[in-house]
Amino acid sequence: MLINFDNAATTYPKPLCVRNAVAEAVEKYGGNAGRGGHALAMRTSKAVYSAREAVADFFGAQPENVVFTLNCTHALNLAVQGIMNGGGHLIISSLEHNSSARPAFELAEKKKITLSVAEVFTDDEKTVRSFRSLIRKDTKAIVCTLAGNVTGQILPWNDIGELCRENGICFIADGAQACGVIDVRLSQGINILCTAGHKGLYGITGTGLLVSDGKFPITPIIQGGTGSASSSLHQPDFLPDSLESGTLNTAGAVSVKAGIGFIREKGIDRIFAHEDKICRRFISELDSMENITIYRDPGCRYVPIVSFNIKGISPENAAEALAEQGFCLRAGFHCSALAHSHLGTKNGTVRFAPSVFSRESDAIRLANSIKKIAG
Amino acid sequence: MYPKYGCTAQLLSGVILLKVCILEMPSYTYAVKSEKLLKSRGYSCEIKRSESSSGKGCGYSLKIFGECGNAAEILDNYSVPYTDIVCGGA
Repeated sequence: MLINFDNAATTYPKPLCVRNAVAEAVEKYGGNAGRGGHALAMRTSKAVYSAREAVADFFGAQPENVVFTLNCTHALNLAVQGIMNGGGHLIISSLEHNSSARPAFELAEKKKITLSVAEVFTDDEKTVRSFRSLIRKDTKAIVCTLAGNVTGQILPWNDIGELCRENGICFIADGAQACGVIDVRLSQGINILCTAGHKGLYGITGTGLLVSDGKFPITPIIQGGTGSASSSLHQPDFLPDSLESGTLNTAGAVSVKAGIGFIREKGIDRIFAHEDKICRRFISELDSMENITIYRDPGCRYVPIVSFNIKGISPENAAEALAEQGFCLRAGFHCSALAHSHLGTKNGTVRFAPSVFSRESDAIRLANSIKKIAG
Repeated sequence: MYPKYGCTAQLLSGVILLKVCILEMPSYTYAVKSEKLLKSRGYSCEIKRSESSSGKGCGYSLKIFGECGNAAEILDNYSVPYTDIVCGGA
């Protein structure tokens, strides 16, 4: 039996309502959303709009400013490259995932933008000062994760949003690890929220979201068919069409709507409390082990993620040993070169990430297995 | 011939034609948003697939049955773009 503690990569299992919604979508919504006027196309278009509304309502946006993407990486690329089109100065945090760090470094290496990396501290005030000190006259955007994907550290995004507002800077937030476990709203100073649909929102893989407040125009990096202004050779300049070229993932959009409905029904605070309790119990089981390092600081807030290492055993070997006992944990660098460089974890870490379906008893069993491996 | 934001019933050879207003929408998303905004204010309307009169190609329009009233003003207030408004018989 597999026990999944790799939910920071993608949540599994999915709620029954999500599985049912996907089955219904495949059965009923077989048209091409936003294209054509026949009954099948219109029914499908309506389902996608309804998903757009659900997302908009969840994050405090307008439905037309909700863009369905393939994943959070896709959304972040659209945002980073689309906002930085034309140059300027970009600031990213030292905990950014490769999905924003790579496009940022690529643009900087090609001399299309200038880039600064703001150090993140365990003290939120120091983190905000770090961002503030890097702002220049030509700073166009700040990209900052709401919660790091390696340790789960929650960043002071309200303050960073305020900093952006004061300086007329676009705040692009990576909500991949935060959305679904903590309340995230655009009104908290976020201009463009990028997130996965398949993680804390419990949609299926192949889903992501870019949610904008509409204040900063995003230049499309992909052009194509949108079902609108079709006789023009130019990409539409309005959302969501400008960023949604090609056939949409209807089943995916519908799954995200169902996932959001599931979260609403469960209650986001209760979801966080459940997962956080499991994390704390897991930590308490391992805390006394001298040869286990847990990457958490008592002064910090975390989403339900725990990164750890066992002395003398590489993260990959530890994860492999645990996998033999049925535990699914992610080892290595978690696509986050900057964060591991920041932490000084040269071989990466093992990451424990429960979901709403995880059980404390399984976390205790896992901890016991880790203790045996650690000797 | 017709007022921009309010179509009136036309008497043609003794037959009263039903009044309609057609708003060309830039996309399906805006068409649904407009439909919801107007329906919630008592307008009877539906989304139709249409060809753009401004030569932008195929798209969607919102067909309002009866008086247009201040439909355009409502959409303006919600920053909903529409490319054209045409009034006529149903």
